[in-house]
Amino acid sequence: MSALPELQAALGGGLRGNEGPGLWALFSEPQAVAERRFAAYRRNVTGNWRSALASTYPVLAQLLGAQRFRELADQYIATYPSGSGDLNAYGGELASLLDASTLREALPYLPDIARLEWALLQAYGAADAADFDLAALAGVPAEAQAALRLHVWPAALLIASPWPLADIWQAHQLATNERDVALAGIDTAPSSEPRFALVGRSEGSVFAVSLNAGEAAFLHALQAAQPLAEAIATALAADNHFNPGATLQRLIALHTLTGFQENKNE
Amino acid sequence: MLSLSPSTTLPLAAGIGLRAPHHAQVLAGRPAVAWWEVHSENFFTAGGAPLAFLQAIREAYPVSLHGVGLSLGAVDMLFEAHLEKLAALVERIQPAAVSEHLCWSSAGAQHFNDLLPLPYTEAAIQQASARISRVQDRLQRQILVENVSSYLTFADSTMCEWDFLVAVAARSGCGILLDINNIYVSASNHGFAAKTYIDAIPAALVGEMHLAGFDHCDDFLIDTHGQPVHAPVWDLYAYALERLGPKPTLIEWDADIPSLAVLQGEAAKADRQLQRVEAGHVRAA
Repeated sequence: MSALPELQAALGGGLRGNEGPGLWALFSEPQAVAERRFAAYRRNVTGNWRSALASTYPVLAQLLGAQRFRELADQYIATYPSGSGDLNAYGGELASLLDASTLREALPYLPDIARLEWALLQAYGAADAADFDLAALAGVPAEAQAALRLHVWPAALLIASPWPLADIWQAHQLATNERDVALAGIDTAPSSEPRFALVGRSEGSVFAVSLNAGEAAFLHALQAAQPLAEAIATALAADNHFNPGATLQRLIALHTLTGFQENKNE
Repeated sequence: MLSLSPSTTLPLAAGIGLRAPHHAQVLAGRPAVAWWEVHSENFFTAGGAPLAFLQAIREAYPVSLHGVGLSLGAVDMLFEAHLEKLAALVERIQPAAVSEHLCWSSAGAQHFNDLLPLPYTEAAIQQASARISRVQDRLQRQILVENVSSYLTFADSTMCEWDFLVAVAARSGCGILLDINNIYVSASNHGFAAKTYIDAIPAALVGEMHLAGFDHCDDFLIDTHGQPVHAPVWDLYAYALERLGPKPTLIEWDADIPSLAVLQGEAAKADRQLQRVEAGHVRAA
C-alpha cells in the first residue's frame, strides 16, 4: 500500500528514466508485462515533449537536421522537466542549453536563433493591442510632438546579435530550393557591431525583421519610455543617417507602435 | 447530486474534434458540423490568432472546451495557475460544455503532459473530487470528466474503474464524458467485459460520449486517435446508446489527421446511430 503522492512520485521518476526499486511492485501486472506497458507511457511522454520542441523550434530543426535536433531535444528533456500542463509552454530554456552546447562550434548562432524562435511563440499568443491612430498623431500640435511618448507593443522584442538572425529566419521560411539560394546570399560571419532583429506580430502573423543601428536605438529608447525628441537624439547618436519619419512609418506598419501619450507637463 | 442532469448545451448530434490542420478550411467554408470540441490549452493565449479563431468559430457553432492539462488526480501545486487560464478562456468563449480527464499528469513541480491512470482507491476519489469541486466552484458551472484508457493497473486499487468513476461524479457533482473507445481499450488490456462498465454508469450522469480509433502495440491496445473508429467500438457505442440513451457524441482524431470529409463521414455514422436510438426512445415514451 502506498499513498497517492508517493505512487505518483515513483511513476513520475520512472517516466523520466529514474526507476526506483519499488516501481514494478506498484502494478498488478507481472513485471515483464508492466515493463513493456510502462514503456508505452514513457514513449508517449517523450514523444509529446519532442513534438512540442519541434513545433516551437522549426528553424533550429532545419539547421540541425532531424537526427541532431532529436538528440538536442532528448538532452533538453533530460535536463528540463515540463512545468506546465500546457505543452505550448515547454521549451523556454533551449537557448540556455545551446549556450553550453558543443553544437555551437559548427553553428555559433544557434542559441540566438533559439531566443528568436521562443520570442516568436510568445509574440504569437501575446495580448492584442489597438492599431496606431495616425489621424490622432497628425492632430498633435507641432510644439507638443517632442514630448510625445510612443507606446511599443509589449511583446515586441529587440534581439541584438553578432549574426543576421532575421535574415537567417526569413530564409528558413522559404521552400527548400529558394531557401538554399537565400542562405547562400547571407554572410553568417559574426560582425563586431551588433545586428538587430525585431520580433513582432502583424495581422495575427509573427515576423522577424532586421533593424539598422539607428532604428534599433530609436525603438530601444521608446521601450525605455524616452520622449520622442530624446529618442530621436539617441537614434541619431547611434546612426547619423537615422530618418525619424521613415522609421516611424515602418514601426507603425509593423504594428510595433500601438499608440502615444501627450506629455502635457513638459 | 446523482439526479442532476449534466449541464451542457451541446446539441444531441455528433461533433468533431477541431484541430489545427482544419482551422483555415472551417473558418472559410463554415462546413455543416453540429458542434466542435477543441483542446482548451491550445487557446490559453492572452490574444493573437488562436483566440481570434476560436471566437469566430464560437459565433457560428456550439463549442466544447476539452482540457488535457488540469491533472485532476494529482497532488501538486501546478493546478491553480492552470485553472486560472481555463477560467479566463471559459469566460471569453462561453462554451456549451467544459470537460477534463479523470487522471493525473503531474507530480512535485513536474508535469508529464500525458493522461496517466489513477489507482482506484478512496484516497484518489477524495483527491480528484476535491479538485473537481474546486474547478466547478471557480468556473461556476458543472464540468464533465472523462474516463481515460489505461495500459496498467495498480496493486493498490480497491475497486473497479467504473465504481471509481461513478463515485467521483457522485462526490463532486460533475457529469461524465464517457469515452467508448477508452472503455474498449481498457477492457481489452485488462480483461474485463466492456458492457459491464457501461451497465454500471447511471444514464443521467452522462453528458457526452467520445469515439476514436486505437492501435495495437505488442499484446495490448493504445488509444492513439489515429484511425477510424473500429467496428467493435461502433458496436459498443450502439450498446451504450441503447443503455444510456442518445448523448452528444464526439469524433476524435489527433494523429495522422485525415481530411475534414473523412471526419464528417465518421460523424455521419454516429449521427445515424443517434437518430435510430432517438426514434426508439420517442416510440418507447
